[in-house]
Amino acid sequence: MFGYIRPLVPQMLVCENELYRAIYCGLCRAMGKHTGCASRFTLSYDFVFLCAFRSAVERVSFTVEKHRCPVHPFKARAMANDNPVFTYAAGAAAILNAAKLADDAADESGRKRAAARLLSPAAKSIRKRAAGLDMLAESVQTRLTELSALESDGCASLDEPARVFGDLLGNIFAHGLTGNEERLSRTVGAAVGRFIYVADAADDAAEDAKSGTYNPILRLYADLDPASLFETKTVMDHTGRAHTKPRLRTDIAESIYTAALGDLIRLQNALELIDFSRCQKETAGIVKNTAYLGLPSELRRVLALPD
Amino acid sequence: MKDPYTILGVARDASDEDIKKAYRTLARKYHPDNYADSGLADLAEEKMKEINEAYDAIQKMRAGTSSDSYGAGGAYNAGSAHTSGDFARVRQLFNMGHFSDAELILNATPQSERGAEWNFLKGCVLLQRGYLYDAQKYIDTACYLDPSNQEYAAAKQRLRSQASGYGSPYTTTQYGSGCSGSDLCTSLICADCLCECCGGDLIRCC
Repeated sequence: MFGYIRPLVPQMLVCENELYRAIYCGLCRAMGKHTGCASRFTLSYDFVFLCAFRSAVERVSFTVEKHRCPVHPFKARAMANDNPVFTYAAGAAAILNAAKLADDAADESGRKRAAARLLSPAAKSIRKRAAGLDMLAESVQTRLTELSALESDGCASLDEPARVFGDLLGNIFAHGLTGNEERLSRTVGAAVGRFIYVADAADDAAEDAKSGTYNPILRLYADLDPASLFETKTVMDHTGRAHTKPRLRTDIAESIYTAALGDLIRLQNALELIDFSRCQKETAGIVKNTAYLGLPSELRRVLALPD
Repeated sequence: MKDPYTILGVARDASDEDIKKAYRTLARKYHPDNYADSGLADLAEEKMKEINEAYDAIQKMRAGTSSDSYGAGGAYNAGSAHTSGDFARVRQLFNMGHFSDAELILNATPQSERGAEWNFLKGCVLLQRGYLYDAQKYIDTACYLDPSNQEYAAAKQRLRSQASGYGSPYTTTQYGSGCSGSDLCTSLICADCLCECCGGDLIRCC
């Protein structure tokens, strides 16, 4: 999806990091098995988090074995074996990617639309293999339609579209669960979805200003001079390389960061109500590290704020 | 002065909800902005004033405080259409919990009069709805426009301190400060004191 939901690796226990990598490889393998080889290219950290979270809530333990794979043909890697959580995550990823692509093909312009059109037959065939999730597909479609309506209206709020995307992810996190687990997972998914939307908007703000594409942050700050919104800053990518790019100026970035932490309190409140005492210890560690340390750190990176 | 119920066109025994509805419909209808280009704004303003006074009067009567004079303080007073009186009305509505009414007035304020206080109140209304990102923007703008105002600074500080609580259950239980040696000593001494108070003893030597 977007890849903003990742753990803060230096603060993980070694056993947690090992399991995290095994879940990553396991999900990739499961996607190959359930939704076809092409779907493996859409693997993202966000869905790895979904796997860790769902297995913690459903108390599914991962078993790890070493396998070779096409990307790493020489050295066998530890991979988590397929389980119902992976099957679900692969299906949900297929649905979301296919719907997003169809949406881009209809809404976007230029290169993004051409790419979306080129990929849509592949997405359709992947989507067809995600069996038994029609209800979810329908709700994802509804939310995306709602979102593009807000965007074409030029909605001058960051909260409103973020909430719609939050609802979408809340559905994905909660699908198939019941009772309190369903409610808590929905709340967690919604908070994660809002976070992804805000991080993505902040990440793209400078580019969107240049190309004239809709961006909720640009609309919210429409009363300021558009040229004054950005400063040239150094941004680290995930491999630790530095890039010099225009980013939101520091006071606006700080303001968005503070609001995001205030919003994440809702995630914290939900996580505090989930019983992690009976699930695999490492998965609970991955979920907490990602939520409490990974998300703030990722947003600071996107906003080019110092640690 | 005319009967406030007649002005709003409602029966004397109408519910609060109906009165509010009638008031809102009229306020929207006679808003001076609707008349800006027809040159009738002054008449609309007068009408608006009458409506506001009637609404205030009914509210006061129903709250049990009888009032002889229909005091000012309506949303759209005569003179300059949007003085600080508007915002007093917004605050009043806000305190009574009528957030959507407060927002209605705020959204009707023309661009040119959206100063620090407008931004602050807009932020408060959004906050009430749980819109944190939008609220943050408006409250920051209020602080920027009027850096010396204590109220705005306090609101900004509240948002910040709320945000600083994020991640605390994790960082304090697992990593970060945790329980250092000196904490342990302090806790033990405290526990000892408490035991002694109750007649017991935890640490024999002290």
